[in-house]
Amino acid sequence: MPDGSFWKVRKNTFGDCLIIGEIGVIGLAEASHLAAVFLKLSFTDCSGLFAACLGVLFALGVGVLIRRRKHIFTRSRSETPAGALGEQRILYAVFGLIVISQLIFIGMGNAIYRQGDMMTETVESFLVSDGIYRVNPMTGMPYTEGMPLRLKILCLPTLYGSLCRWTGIRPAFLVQKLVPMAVLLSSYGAFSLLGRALFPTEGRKRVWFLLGVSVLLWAGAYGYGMEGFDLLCCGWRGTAIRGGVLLPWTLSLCLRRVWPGIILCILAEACMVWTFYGCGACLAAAAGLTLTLLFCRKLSGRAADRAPEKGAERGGAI
Amino acid sequence: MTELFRNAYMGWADYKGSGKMAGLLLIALVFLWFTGKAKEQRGFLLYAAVSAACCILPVTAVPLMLYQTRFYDYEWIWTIVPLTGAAAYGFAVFLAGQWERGDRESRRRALGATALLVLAMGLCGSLGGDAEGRARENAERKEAYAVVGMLSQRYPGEELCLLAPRNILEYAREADGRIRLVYGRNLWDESLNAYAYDTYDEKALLLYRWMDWVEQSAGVWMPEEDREEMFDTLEERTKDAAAMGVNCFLFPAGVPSEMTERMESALGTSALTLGDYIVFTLF
Repeated sequence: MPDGSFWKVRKNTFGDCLIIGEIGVIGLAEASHLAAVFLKLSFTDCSGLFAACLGVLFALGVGVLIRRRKHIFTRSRSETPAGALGEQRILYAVFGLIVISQLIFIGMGNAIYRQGDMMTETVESFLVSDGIYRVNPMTGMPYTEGMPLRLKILCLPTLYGSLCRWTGIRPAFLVQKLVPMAVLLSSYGAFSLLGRALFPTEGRKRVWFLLGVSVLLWAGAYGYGMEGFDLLCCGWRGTAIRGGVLLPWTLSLCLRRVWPGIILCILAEACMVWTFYGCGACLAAAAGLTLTLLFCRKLSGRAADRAPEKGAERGGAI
Repeated sequence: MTELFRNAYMGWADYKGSGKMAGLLLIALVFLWFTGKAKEQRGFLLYAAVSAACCILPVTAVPLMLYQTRFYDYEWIWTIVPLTGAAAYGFAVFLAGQWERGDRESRRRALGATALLVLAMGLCGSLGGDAEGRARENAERKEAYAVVGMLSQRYPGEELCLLAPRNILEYAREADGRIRLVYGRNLWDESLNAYAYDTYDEKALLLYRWMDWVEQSAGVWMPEEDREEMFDTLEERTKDAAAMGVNCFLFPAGVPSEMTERMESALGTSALTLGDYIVFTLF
């Protein structure tokens, strides 16, 4: 049976709300993007539609935060014993320094990996042609044969392009520097929630967990496909958001048995990364972990059933 | 199917060869299981172990590769493995245990263990990676941005269709989306061809090869037969490029003077100097 601490972490925290908000933004970007692709809207109209939807989402989000502030903000304050606070502060400071070093690394832009990716060119082409995939991003010339629909429906170029249009920031700067920084911070938010699910009552271990994650991200920056590499060298890609934000959050939701959020992750992944008809890594990970948890629960249930039997047998023998 | 199995087998060999993060995960799992510290999150750690095993064994890795549409490389199947999460869990349990005791001797020991562990984790990566390659790439990027900036400044309002050396074209569309190209970087980065059904015709491919010779001709040495063919086809390639829409030719300043003269007469324009480059325009 789960104890009280388990039920506490089942509620949505502020971190959960932030990730839900991010997924909401991705969902609205996808809706605007699809509207523009199928109704052949200009990119100006598309970003205008997205801005209007985003305004509504923001108002709703603020409303929900205000209404449920007691549940969202007043949590886990009493979980940390006063004696451990000093050590935790030092650990948080070290963790903060590592995160800052990673933000500086991204900001310097010395390790941008763009092989097999054309996000910046795509955003540039959206802005210049004022349309979605009207020209081939590689050349700026009209398509001769077109592009696969499975890739055409992915929304990240519209999201980044809209941000560029509203702020006037150059696509290369926004895509290759600002977005990866935001994704890295979101990733730590997601890992923090995973830490909270893994160590529901031990704040000290949660800080060590976050420190471990930050060191592992640095260490993993060596190779294509590693989480650290995705976040530090190409954090704008859908695969980086999936690996750094969606998957840790999915795992934390599975551990807390908060199922609706997992559906959001699966949908968000399908909006950003080409998957097997929407059956991407989030669905596979959620299904795998849920089955394993059920298996473990069944095993522990059998063990609990056997314990009294054994006790009775021993008692009988005596 | 045989090819898929081979890819799965070779993929794992590459994956473990390029870094040791998977090894770190296995060490963390072994530590947690054999010290009895896996009890609290048995389900999570069992999932990490099983999913990692599925990625390592070719029999199970192949279905996972099929599940991820075969569009992605082998390493992407590791996405489903909570590698960072499980390894960080082991890190947290081990180090929180080390730092539990408050006396000075224990803390000194814990500090040593922490330093060793962090160093070991760092060594699982490549400690900075290919710094030389990155520096070269950054220098090329800076140069390309500077050249594209100069072009945009010199010809404001013109719709440029550029033919230039590969290192400039690599970043041209990123630096300024208004610039059009007759061929883009998907010609040398083939993975980008998955994003469109468009292909390049024979003339574009010949132009690409010819521009490669032009770059070489500005260098110290190039094979004599390539040099001859470059000069023999100069007018033809220039005419093809202009027919394809190119209105701005950017060559390295070190190209032979014969080439500059023949380009000027073929295009009916004179060359202008732009930093380390010369430029011919058709407007």
